[in-house]
Amino acid sequence: MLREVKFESQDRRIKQVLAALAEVGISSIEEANEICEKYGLDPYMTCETTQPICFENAKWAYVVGSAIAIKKAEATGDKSAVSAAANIGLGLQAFCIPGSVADDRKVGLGHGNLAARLLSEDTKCFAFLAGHESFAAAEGAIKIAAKADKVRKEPLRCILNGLGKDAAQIISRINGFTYVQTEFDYYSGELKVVREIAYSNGPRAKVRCYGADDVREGVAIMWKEGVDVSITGNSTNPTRFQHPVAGTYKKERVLAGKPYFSVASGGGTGRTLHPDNMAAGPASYGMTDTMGRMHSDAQFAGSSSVPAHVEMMGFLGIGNNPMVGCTVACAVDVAQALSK
Amino acid sequence: MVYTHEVQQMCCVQKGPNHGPAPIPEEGKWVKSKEISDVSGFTHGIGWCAPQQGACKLSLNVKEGVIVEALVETIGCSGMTHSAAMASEILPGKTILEALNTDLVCDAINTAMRELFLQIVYGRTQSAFSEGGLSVGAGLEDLGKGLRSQVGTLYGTLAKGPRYLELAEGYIKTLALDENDQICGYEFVHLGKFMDAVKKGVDANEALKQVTGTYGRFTKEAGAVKYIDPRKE
Repeated sequence: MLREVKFESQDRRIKQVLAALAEVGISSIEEANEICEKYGLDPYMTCETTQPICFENAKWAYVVGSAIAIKKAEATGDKSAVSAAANIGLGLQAFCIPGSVADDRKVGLGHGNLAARLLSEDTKCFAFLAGHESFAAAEGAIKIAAKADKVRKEPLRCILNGLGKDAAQIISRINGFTYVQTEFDYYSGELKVVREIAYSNGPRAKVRCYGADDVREGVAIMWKEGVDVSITGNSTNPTRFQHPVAGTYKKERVLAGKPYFSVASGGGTGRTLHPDNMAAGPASYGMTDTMGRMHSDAQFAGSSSVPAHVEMMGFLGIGNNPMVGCTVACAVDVAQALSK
Repeated sequence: MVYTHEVQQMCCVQKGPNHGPAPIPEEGKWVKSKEISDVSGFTHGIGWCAPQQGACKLSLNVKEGVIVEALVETIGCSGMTHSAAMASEILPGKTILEALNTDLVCDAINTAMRELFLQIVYGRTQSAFSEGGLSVGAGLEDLGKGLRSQVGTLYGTLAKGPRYLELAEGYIKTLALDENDQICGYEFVHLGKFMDAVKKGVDANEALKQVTGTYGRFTKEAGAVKYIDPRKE
C-alpha cells in the first residue's frame, strides 16, 4: 500500500526515527514500509483499526517498529513474538520527542516490554484496571483477545476491572465481552459471582469485564482472577480506584510471595493536574502521578484513551490501552509472518 | 511610598529567612517564579457562566508570560460561540495577568481564563515535565483530524431509552440494537474528514462512504438485530 509518509511533529521525531532504522540497516520509513509489505504485513492499518481516532504518527510508529522487529529477527534467528514485541518497542521509542516526559520515562521501550510480557507463558492473566468511563480499555482488550493466543501455548486470560457495575455491563454489551456481575461481602471479604452474561460467541467473549463498587471489591476481583500483570487507566477515578487497587494488591501479592507487575498509566500520569488539584500551595504536582510512582514497576504517560493527551506527553497519538493491544497484535503478526 | 509616622518611630527588627518561593515545574525545568514573565506552559481549563447554560474549554500556550496560542471551545450556548470568536483574537499577545482583566465577553470564557491562570502560576500545566514545552500548534493538534472539537451529545428518556447522537468518532447516523433492543454498536460519520475530502474534490456521496465507520457490534453476525436512526426513531 503506497501512502505518503506524513505525521504530526515529523520534524521533531524524524532524526531519532531514522537513527533507529539505520541501526538495523534501513534507510527510510518508506523502506520500512516496503519490508512490512514484503511479509504481507500492514501495521499502519492494524493501528488504525485498533483505535479509529488515533494519529498518523502512531500508525507510522508501528510500521517502523514492525520493520525493526523483522530485521532483528532475520539477524538473530529469534523469530518469537516475545522478541518481536520488545523490538517493536524500539520503534515506538524512536518516535518520542527528545526531552519529553515520554522520552524521559522510555515509554516506547516500556510498551514493547509490556507486550512481550503478555506474550510470555509466565503471564497468566492481564487486567485493564480502569474507571470504566470510556470504551478505550476495550479497544486494547479486543486486539489482545484476537491475537495473543495465536502464538501462546496456554491462552492468556484478559479482564477489565473497573469502577461501576452498570458501565461494566454496557461496555461488555457494546464490545461482545462477558460481563461478570459480582457481589462483595464487606464483613467476610468474600467475593461472589452473581451471574455471567456473554455478549458474543467469539474470542471477545473470553474477555471478562467486572464492575466494582469500591477499592476492596476491586482488589478481591484481582485475587479471584489471579492477575499477574495489570495496567491502570483512565482519568476519572485514578486516585479513588485504579491506583489504590493496584497498590493494595501489590502489597498483598508481595506478602503472599507472588509476582505482580504493575504498569501505571492513564490520564494523570506524567501530568500535574487531577483530583488533588486545589490549585493552591506548592509541592503537590499530581496525586495520580505520585500514586503511580508508589506501586508501579513501569510508568507510562498521558491518557489511557485520548490520543491527543498521550501525544502531548511527547509520545504517539493513540491511547495507552489501545496501544497495548496494538503492540501485541503487531508482534504476533510479525512472528507469524516470519514463520511462514 | 510613604511610611506612617508610627512606623517611622519604630526600631528595626531584622527579617531572617529568605529562601524565595518553592520552585514550580515548567517545561521540564524547576523555576522559582517571581514575575509573570517567569511562567510558561501549555494547559487547558474549563469555565462556566452564572446561569450555567454553557461551558468553555480554553487551551493556552504561554511562553514567558505571554499567550502565544489560544484554543477556545464552547458548548451549550449560541451566543458564546461568537464571544469565543472574539476571544481567539483578543487573547494572543496578552500576558496572562492582563488577560484576567480583559473582558472576554462571556462569563464562561472569563471563568476558564481564571482557572487557567491559577493552574499556570501554580505550576500545574500539562507541559510541566516536557522539556522546552509544547510547540505552538499543540492546541490545534488537540482537535485531531478534521479539526473539530470533541463533543458528546447523548440523550435518554425513561420511556424510550438512550440515544447516541454525537461521540468521539463523529456524527452518529445509525444505532445497532441487539436481541434485547439494547444498544450494541453504532455507525458514525466523521464530519471533519468528510469536509476535507469534499474540499479536495471527492464526490460527496463517495466521501461519505469513505468517512463512515462503525463501532462496537454493528453487523448482524456480531449480534445486531435492528438498526435505528437515533434522531427519528
